[in-house]
Amino acid sequence: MSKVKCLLCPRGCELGSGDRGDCLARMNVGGKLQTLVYGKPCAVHVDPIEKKPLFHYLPSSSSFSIATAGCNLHCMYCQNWEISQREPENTRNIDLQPQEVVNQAIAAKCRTIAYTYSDPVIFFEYAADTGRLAHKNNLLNVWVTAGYINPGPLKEAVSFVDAANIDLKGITEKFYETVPKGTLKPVLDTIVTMKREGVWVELTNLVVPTYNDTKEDFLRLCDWIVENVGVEVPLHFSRFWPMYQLKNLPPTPEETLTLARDIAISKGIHYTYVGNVPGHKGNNTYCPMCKNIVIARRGYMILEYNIVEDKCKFCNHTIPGKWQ
Amino acid sequence: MLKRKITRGEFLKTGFLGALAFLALPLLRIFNNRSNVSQKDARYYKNLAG
Repeated sequence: MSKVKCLLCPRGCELGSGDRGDCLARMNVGGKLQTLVYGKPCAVHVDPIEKKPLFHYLPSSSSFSIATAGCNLHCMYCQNWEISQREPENTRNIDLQPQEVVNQAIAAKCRTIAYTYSDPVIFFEYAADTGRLAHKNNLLNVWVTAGYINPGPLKEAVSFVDAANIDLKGITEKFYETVPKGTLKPVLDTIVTMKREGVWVELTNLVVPTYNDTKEDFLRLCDWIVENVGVEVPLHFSRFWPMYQLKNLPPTPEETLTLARDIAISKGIHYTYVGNVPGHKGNNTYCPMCKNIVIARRGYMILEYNIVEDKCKFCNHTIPGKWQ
Repeated sequence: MLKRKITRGEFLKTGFLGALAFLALPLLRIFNNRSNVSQKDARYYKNLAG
């Protein structure tokens, strides 16, 4: 039986008959590569879109969120490791074909379908077919992804992905090698490509004590963002909580997140947020022109909304995003 | 109400069979777990020579 080489992500797994890819979700069966997770999500929830996090995309709307088992990265701090680092045979899956995903999203009055929790890259075929059906039914598609995907499938993905929160986990190859066990460059390419192709992009950097929390890390990260995708891409610095293989570390100190945000602002990034710290001023959206709060939030809840059409109510400055 | 005493042999046999059934439960899942996964052709791959 012939070997196959998977071309979906930069790992490029070469699989003999019966072998499974690094993502755990694809297998060589008799010389053909098969996906083991098509129509078999192990997580199905309705979430506020702010949870993704997406702060500039249909605020206060609900997102029908699905995920399958598996992942092509192996982050030591993964909050969803019980599904991302498991074979699909060992998760509780339900049968939910693409049309049924769409039907349920409509029934739940969701405006978007989010492909999330693990990573839609590894359930690509399922996400693609569902995504196209979603469009036929006036639903939009949101990817929450680490962006570890090859250019070919990425080119297809941008035809049906409307918005994405992409993890920019760190800004060095060493970090990517050590923590998520991958490489940095493909992720940077994904961010640039999605932005260029018109996908609404927001970035998340999970700040992990002792791994990517220095002033130098934040400066380099912000410099890359400003030079490559611009100052209007929202950036979320998220607080780490001890999890999975990093239970020995403390949670990210609030001061570190505040420092990260201050550095981003000093570099000219207009919309910088702090995640997982309820009550932090970084929960809010500020107009970069008049500095007033255009959206006040506590957690996922919107307390105040001062955007009219797509403009700041106070000074008429255009706030980028999809507001309706 | 039992009319007779269970013999030691019957007790051990029942216990053995019960333990065997308990241990076999995970195996049943393994034999049946293909319905838990899909068998759909993936895209984005190539066959390697040899």
